Amino acid sequence: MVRAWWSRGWVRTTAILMAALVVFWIVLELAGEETRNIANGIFTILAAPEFVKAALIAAIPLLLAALGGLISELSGVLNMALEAMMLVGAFVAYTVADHSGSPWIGLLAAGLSGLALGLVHAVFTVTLRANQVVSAVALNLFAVAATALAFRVLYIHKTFQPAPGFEALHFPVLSDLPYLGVALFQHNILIYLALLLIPVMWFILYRTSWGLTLRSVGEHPMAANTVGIKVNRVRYIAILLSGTLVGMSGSALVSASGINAFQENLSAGRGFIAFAAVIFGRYDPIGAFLGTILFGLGDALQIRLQAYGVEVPYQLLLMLPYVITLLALVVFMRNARGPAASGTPFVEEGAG
Amino acid sequence: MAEDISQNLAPLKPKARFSLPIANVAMPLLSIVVAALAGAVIILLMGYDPLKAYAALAQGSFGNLMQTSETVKTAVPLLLCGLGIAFAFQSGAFNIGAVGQMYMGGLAAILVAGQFAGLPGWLHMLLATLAAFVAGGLWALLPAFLKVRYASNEIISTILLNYVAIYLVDYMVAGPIKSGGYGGAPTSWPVLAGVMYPKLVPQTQLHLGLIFALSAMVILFFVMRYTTLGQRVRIVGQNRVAATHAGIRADRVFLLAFFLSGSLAGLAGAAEILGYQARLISGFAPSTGYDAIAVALLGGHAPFLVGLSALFFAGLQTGAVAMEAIAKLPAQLVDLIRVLAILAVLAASSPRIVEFARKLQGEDRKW
Amino acid sequence: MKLINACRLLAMVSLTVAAVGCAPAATPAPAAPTEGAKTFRVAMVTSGPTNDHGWHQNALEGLQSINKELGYEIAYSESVESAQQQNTLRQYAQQGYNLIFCHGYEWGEALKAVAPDFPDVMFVQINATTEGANIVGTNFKFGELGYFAGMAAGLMTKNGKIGIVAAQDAPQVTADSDTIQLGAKAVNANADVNVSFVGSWDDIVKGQQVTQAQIDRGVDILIIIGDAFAPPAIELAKSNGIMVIGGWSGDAHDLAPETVITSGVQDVPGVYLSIARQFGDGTLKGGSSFVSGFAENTQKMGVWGDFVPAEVKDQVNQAIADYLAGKLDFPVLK
Repeated sequence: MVRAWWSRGWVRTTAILMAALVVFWIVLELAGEETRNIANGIFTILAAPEFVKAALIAAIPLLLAALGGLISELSGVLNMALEAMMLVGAFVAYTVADHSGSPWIGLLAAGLSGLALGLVHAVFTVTLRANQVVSAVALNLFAVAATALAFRVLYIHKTFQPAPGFEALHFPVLSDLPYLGVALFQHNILIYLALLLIPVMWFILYRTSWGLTLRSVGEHPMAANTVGIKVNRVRYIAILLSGTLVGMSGSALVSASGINAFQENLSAGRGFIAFAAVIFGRYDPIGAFLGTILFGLGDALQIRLQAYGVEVPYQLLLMLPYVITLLALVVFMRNARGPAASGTPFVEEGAG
Repeated sequence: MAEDISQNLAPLKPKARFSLPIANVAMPLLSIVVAALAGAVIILLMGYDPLKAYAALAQGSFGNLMQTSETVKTAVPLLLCGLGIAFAFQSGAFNIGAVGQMYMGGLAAILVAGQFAGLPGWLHMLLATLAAFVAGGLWALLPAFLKVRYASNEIISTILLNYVAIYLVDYMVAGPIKSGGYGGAPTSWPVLAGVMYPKLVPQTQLHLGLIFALSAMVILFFVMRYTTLGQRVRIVGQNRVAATHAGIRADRVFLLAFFLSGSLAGLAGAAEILGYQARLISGFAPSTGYDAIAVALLGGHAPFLVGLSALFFAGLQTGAVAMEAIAKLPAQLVDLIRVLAILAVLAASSPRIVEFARKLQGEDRKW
Repeated sequence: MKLINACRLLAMVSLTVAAVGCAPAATPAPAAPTEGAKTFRVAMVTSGPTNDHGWHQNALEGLQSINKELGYEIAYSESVESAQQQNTLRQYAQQGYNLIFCHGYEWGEALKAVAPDFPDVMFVQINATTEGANIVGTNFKFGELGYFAGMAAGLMTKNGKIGIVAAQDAPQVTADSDTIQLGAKAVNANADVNVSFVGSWDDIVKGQQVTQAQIDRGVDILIIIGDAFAPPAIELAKSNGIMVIGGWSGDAHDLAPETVITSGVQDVPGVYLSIARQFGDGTLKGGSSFVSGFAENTQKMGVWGDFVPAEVKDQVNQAIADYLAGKLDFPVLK
């Protein structure tokens, strides 16, 4: 009985967190004045609504990319090209918003550019059955070079030029709530759309026949094929959808904290974190959200520790989100198992 | 997951008979020509001279002894990391962590090579190399251990550890091992005199690291083909349960394979620092470990082919420098041309194209 | 399968070799200019992108001003990886470039390896102390800008909270962030200065997050030391009604005239031009090193915002005069 309870993730999580808090409290009681001051600072950081706000802002682009990666991976195609799609999406979102004057058109164009990259990835991995990781590595190199080149050609002017972006929303009552207002209800529209996408994705994947089809293609393509599912067509659709979402994550990255600007290699490895979040979240939209928000919290914490003058070398603080994610992986996310056919191309009868 | 990948991609046994593979030579050549033409169109559109650009590419990669040696020198870390990744792959795991393992190797190498003055040069060199070997191995052992003990996915943990290693190097060169001279710039202390790898041929970039890389290539070939260890690694990679039933300690084999994989990447770090850069700076090899994934997979995980594929990648890299410096192409355009070539080779080596090529040949020749 | 792969790769390599065979033999340009010729060829190499709104962009501007003012032929390579540094330098030296600028401390070892092979070429390394018969080093007096920027911040702050958003824990940066504290404390005992490092010069997303964290802490003055992330960070400060001291290469005044108090300006293009001029005159001596700052007019405070009270400007300008007269002293990197 106890054992059955203990095996539930959230019970274990809560118990371990509470135990950690108790230990922390005892340590604080034993420790000296200086340690207590630092701890005080940390509590100040954690208690501020801006902390949650910053974590969400950091997490949302990763979330969109992870959801995109999830669709592709459930269909059995590894998508390590998240980095490429995010970067190209970011560039297109910025450029198109800058020229058209509308961040919405920018978002749409970013989605389309992601779709185009998805098409390339699909041609290579599904049609040509090339190695999925090499295709992604090549696409990532391509994205860095192509966006940098296009950025040079289009923006020769030297001065910094922000594009129109998504404005922060203001809800009548909610935005003025004491803590929650700042933390949750003063973001731009993309953040709410991304959050809304989590239940939508969950519903599509687990409650619609297409979701079942998708997962069966990733889990057992041979069986899916025998019941008449066109495996490679489903994979194509999955990768294209994936590319669209990830491309849009680039738009979120550009507009998240109100930068609305572009710089070479803007994504700076964030696509790989999103890729990790997919596996971390056990191939589940809610899990992907938990993975990205955990990373966002870690990132927001390390940045704030610095701002409040904690005397730890900043490079070690920069490691913090990665270390936290790694620890959580070990403690909570054991036995994450992907789709059985992940990584393997499917050879249709007669095609081989 | 990775087990499935390796099943699919594990190189097939070569057959003894050899016949002239017209289509299989023509296809990759054709794909490179197509890529070159596509590149030429882009270069023209950007307002540069494609002939001049490609002449510079050729000149910069294999144009003379010095440039060829630059290419070979660039291939050394790619080869070492690629061999490591290929080896881990055989054991059924994806090692995306060559970047981090290489950084740890470089860090360990400079830690040893930058102090302990007074040791005999050759011993010092050997110790620094050994330290890099062990450091890279241990950095890879961590995710392997997490996988064995906690079933943590090694793809995530190796990616995460890459960042940890990169920031650790940033910290070390700005703090504990920062140089005294140079206006105290964020670089490490230098490699002590006499500890740098000797040049194999004077007036070239060929250094001792090349010998390490080539030996690793040959040794790995023999280990995989003729030893029980190689056999065990492969069995574990293909089916861990079956391996356990066959009396193989799968976990141990897996840990060993990952350790060696990381060690080779660590060695790549030492080769870059002790053979060329002479000092550790932050971001000293930002892309080698990732490029090496493509190198390993293009080489089909067969050691000698990994070597050729490393040379191909390196040639593109050194040639790119000349395209920028001699033909005056912008760096970003040069990168684009480089990627086109990689995509072309990837397409040419994809199973679909290979099948197509065989059909074109009109024979069902057995290989 | 292996054989197929082998053939494929062999084919790749053979094609490359064939291409080499077809390639016109590279004709090495004359190594030294003929006597009396007044035009020289100048090259520059950087490890970062030359559109970063900062350090590397300034290098390119310097190079371009050499072309414009002196008419010398110019060329450059950007975003060069450390593993290709020697290769890149050698490519330019072999083509007969007379003067080669290496933009940053990170080029030191590559220079040491390549320069001796090309005694007729003059190499210049920016931000480095160098040795070698044909190598010239230049440095800014890091720390000067920080002190006066810190003074301005200390005088302008209302709540005493000053935040520094800096790129990297490098001595060239910390020399200034240390003297910012000294300068602020000298004029305002309540000044509470904290430094945040972004860990990158160009990651504009992270730069934004770090700036936001300082704003959340409640600072009313931000001092931003970075390249590509600086303009968006200034934009963010502006929308939050927070005053900024920018710069550390170009002048940030034009980005937000009503937000930027002043800038710490390092005249990188000026250094390039003056070195090239000396080279053209034949007065540039290999092995020499140039350390410059306020006294040499390569570092200065930028344009002041109109909203800054005259007393503040006067007090800072007086301090600069005192410093130049040797009446004021603080640690400066030399």
